[in-house]
Amino acid sequence: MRVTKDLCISTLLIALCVTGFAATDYIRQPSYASISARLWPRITLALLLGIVLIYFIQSIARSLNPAEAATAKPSELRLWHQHGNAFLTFALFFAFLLLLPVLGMLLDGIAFVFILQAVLGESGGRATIRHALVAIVTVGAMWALFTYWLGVIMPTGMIINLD
Amino acid sequence: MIDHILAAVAAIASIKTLALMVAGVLAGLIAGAIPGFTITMAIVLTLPFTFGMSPIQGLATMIGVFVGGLSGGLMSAILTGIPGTPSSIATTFDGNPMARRGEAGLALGIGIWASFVGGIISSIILVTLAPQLSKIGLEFGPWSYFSLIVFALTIAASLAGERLVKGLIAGALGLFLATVGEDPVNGVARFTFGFGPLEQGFAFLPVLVGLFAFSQLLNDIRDRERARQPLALGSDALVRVEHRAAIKALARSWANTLRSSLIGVFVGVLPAAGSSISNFLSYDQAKKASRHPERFGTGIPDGIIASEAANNATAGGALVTMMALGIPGDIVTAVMLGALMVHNVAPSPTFITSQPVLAYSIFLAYFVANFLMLACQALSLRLFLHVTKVPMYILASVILFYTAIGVFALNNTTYDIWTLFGFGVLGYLMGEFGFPLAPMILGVILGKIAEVNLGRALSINPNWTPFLTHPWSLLFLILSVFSLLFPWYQGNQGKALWARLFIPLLCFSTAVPLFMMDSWVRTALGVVLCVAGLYIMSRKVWGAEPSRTEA
Repeated sequence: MRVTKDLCISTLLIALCVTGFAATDYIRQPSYASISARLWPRITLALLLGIVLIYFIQSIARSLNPAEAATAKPSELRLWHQHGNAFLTFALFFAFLLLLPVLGMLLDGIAFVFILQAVLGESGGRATIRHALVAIVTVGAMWALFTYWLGVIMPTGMIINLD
Repeated sequence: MIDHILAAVAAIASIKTLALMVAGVLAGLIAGAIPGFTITMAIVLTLPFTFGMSPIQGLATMIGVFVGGLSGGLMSAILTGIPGTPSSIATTFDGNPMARRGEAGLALGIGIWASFVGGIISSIILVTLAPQLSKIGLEFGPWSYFSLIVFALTIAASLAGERLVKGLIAGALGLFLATVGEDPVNGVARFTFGFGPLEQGFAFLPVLVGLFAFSQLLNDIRDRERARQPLALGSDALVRVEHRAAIKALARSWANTLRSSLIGVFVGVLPAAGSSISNFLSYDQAKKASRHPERFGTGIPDGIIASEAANNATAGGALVTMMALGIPGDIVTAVMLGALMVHNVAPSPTFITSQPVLAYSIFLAYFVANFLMLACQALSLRLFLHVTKVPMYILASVILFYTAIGVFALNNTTYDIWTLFGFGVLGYLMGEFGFPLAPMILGVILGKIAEVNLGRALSINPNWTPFLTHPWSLLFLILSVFSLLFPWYQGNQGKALWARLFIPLLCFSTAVPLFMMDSWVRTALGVVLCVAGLYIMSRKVWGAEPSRTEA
């Protein structure tokens, strides 16, 4: 039997359901409640668990089938090639979120858009200038629109209080 | 009623509202035209701009985006062969071959006018059907509402076809995620694990943007080469839309136009089924009804008419369900439902009677948006040609930032951006592992509504039997079972005996709750269903019509 992606996901989902069920015990039961606050979460978890078990059985059946197992070969070597841009984008977005309280929405946004373009796009002098201009103009315009037109108070940042 | 309509006309006819609608239609046309930028994404990105507007202006703007987006998909479908949105996939079958033959102007004209006619037909149906459907909705108790939500989720899952189990998991996961935070019935915190911000749960907008827009953008830029390329059309020459010839072609195919529009409305009315299905369904029906089915796919006007009339008509049908019952007709109206909630408006069967001006403004906005779409097509075609020159990675970088600023504006909290990020990762992973996203989004949106109705139902009667004894509830539960079995039925159609009995059984089963209803019209409808079931059974089971395999 091969360990397939489906088998891993179904196992993870079963673990999620079990954890969820355990966590429902910690939901407070108010004295005034006409129906239990645990009822609906338990119904959804039972439903989820039931379907996940079907998925789990299907995954085992597939992993035991040599024909299907052969076609479902993993492509770990191509993992970076296939998902590299997505990983980089997630990492940069994560950094953007971490730095938001420090840099504020305007500076952090400009930095994020500029670096993301530099990472995903072309390199070179002209491209860098273009990326910088796109970042400053689009983020600046969006920030101004939300701040002055829609009256949204954006995170100001700690280092340079440009906002 | 006349007073309400006049008040709605006054609200929509203001310069500001019309200007916002024009902007919305243009934005929708451009977004719909860009492959990878779905209508859902366009509406989601528009939503933050509407926070500062009145509900009527905000909804009119988003309806503009909706109608524009449905029509925008045809531009890239015809000119590049790449559908701008899933709702225009069938348009590529005949639109692109026509463009390659040098008839791009005629193909565009046919697409534009078919979209317009489909939209107008469905807006007429919307105005007439929605108030009637809402009257039926008033008969629903919490049992029927709960069952209707179950039905919507099973349809969304069954649309995943072979991935039915994954679709069901996605739907159930969405329901579970909707339970995180404060319980809507008792106000008790759930699944917070001591983390304070989780008490507010997951706001609808960050979840939606994360699951759909964020993950979709990442898919668009996943390939390094593709991310760096602009959406080149191959030619910068501006195509001239041939309106007169297109209208003549449409007039010649009036039956196809009408049939496709009605199919579009019907699919739209079904909870959770949208224009991505209706365009295929109507294309298939147009092909079957044609005297020359072999010419479909070679570049004929009928193919474009079928797809475009149906996908625009679906919008009206989806709005009917949303306005009358408070249940989204498709994923786009699910966003609209969320937008209404942001504006403190909750659609339900009483919505049209309790907020008639807003309801009629939505009807009117949908009607007007179709005219604006027609007027804005030429301008949007020019803008589309410019946008196609921008590399995908630049568009994606800017839009990713915009999603962050947009969801922040919802509650002025960075917690929502973290939610966006978390659901972005989840959406990307789900897409990679073959889980459909639509059932999950419906689960998140409908989860709280389902819980509230279940709570009401059990408070009134702690027994579960009313779910089976209330006719509407029973009807929806029967339909849920059949919609779950539908993918298997499709796979075994004409082969297994049970598959041949599927449609007759559906007819007999749905007739039961109709007989339980206190109305002679519904009893008569039940009799018609039984007769239809017997007729189909006589042909399919008792051998009058040989099955496919036997043939």
